Amino acid sequence: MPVEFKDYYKTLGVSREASQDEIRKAFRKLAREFHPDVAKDKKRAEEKFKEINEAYEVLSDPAKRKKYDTLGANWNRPQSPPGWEQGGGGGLRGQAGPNGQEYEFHFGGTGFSDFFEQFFGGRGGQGFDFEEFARQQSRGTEAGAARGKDIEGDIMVALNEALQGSVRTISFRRQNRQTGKAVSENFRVRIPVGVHEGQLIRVPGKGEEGFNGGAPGDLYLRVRFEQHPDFRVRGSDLFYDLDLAPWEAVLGTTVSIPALEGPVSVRVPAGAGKGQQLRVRGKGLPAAGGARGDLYATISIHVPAEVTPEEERLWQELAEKSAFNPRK
Amino acid sequence: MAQKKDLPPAGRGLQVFDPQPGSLYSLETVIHLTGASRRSILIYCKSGLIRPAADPKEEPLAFDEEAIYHIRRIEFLRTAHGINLAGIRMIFDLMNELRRLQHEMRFFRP
Repeated sequence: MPVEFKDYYKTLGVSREASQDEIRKAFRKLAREFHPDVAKDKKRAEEKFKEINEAYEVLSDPAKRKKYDTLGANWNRPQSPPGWEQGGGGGLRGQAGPNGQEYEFHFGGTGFSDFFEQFFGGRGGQGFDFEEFARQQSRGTEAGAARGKDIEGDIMVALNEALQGSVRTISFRRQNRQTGKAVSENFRVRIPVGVHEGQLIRVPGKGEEGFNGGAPGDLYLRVRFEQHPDFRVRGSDLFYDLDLAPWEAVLGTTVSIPALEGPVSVRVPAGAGKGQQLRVRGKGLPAAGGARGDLYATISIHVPAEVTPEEERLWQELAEKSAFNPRK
Repeated sequence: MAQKKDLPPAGRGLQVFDPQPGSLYSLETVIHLTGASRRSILIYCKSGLIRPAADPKEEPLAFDEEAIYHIRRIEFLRTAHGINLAGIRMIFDLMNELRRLQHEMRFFRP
C-alpha cells in the first residue's frame, strides 16, 4: 500500500520559509473556517480539518518541521536522509522481517494519515524493533505458545469528543506473516467521555497475532487532542488567549469569548494586566469524578499598529497627563 | 473490561469496543490479560514499576488499564531486550518525563 506524500505547506497555504507566527495564523484561519462545529458541509470539513490539524502538528513543532523539510523529494526512497531512522520508529507501520519478509500495519480512522504515521507516529521511540521481535518470536516457539505483540498508535480526538464521547470506526490493514496476504478489518471504538491527552485506550485482541496458538496482543490507541484554533489544553482546563486593546484593559469591559458549548461572556476588570487569567468555572473538559475543568482567558494587550492623527493626539495628551511609569 | 456491546447507532454490524477507563481488574484477571506470572506482577509492584489501584493492606489487589499496559511493556522489555528492572524503571521515568515535556512544549508553543 503506497503512502501518499503530504505537502503540509500547501495544506496550510504558506511558503516553505514561513515563520512560526505565519504558520499559526494560517492554521487558525483555516481551522476556524473548517472546524466541523461551524462548517456547513460537515463531512468534507471534517476531512479538511484533520488535514489542517496534521499539517499544523508537524509544522508548528520545529523538530518535526525540520525532519519534514529534510524529506524533500526523496521522502520514500529506501536510503534515509541523515538524522532520522528508516521508518521513523512508526508505531503503526513497520517493515523488514528476519527473512526479508515484510509486514505492515495501516490504520484508518485515527485522524492521522499513513504519511504522518510513517514519519511522525509513535513518538518517543515506542516503535517496534522488528529484529528483537523476531528473536522473541523464535524464543516463543521454543517455549510453546507466545502472545502476540501489542501495537501502539495515536488517535486524534476532538475536544468535543472528550466532552460528549463518540464512537470511531477504525480500519486496520495488515499483512499476514504466513500467507503474505493483506488482511483488512474494521471495528469501532468508543471514545469515553472525559478522555485526557495521552490516555491509552486498550482494544483487546487487535494487536499482533499470537504464535503457536498464543493469544493476540492488544492495540493501544494513545489519545492526542486536536489542535484547536481557540483553545489550548492542560489537564482538564482550557486556555483561551484573550486579546485586549489598552483602553479595554485599563477601563474594564465585558467581552464574549468562545467556549465549547457556545460563546460565554466574561467581565474584564478595570486595570487588567498582561498574563492575568480570568476563570470561567466549569467550562473546561470533563475531569475525574464527573466534575468539569475550567476555561481560562489569558489576557494579552495589543497596541494598534497604525494610528490616525486624532488618535495620536489623544495618546499624546495621555502621555503628558499620566503619571504612570511601568519601570518604576 | 472492554467488550462487545450493542450501541444505538452501531447498525453497521461492526464489532464495538467500549473501554471503561475506570475499571479495575483483579490479580487473576491481570495474569490472564497480560500473560505475566503472579510472581512477576508482585515483584513489579514491590519495585514500584506498577501501582495497585488501592492500598493492598486494606483491599485485595486490583489494577487499572494503565497497569496492564505497563506490565505488558515490562514483560516485552525484559524478554525481548533483556533489560533488568532498574533499566526498565529508568526507561519508564525518561518516557514519562519526555511525554510531560512534549505536552508542556505543545502547550506553550505560540
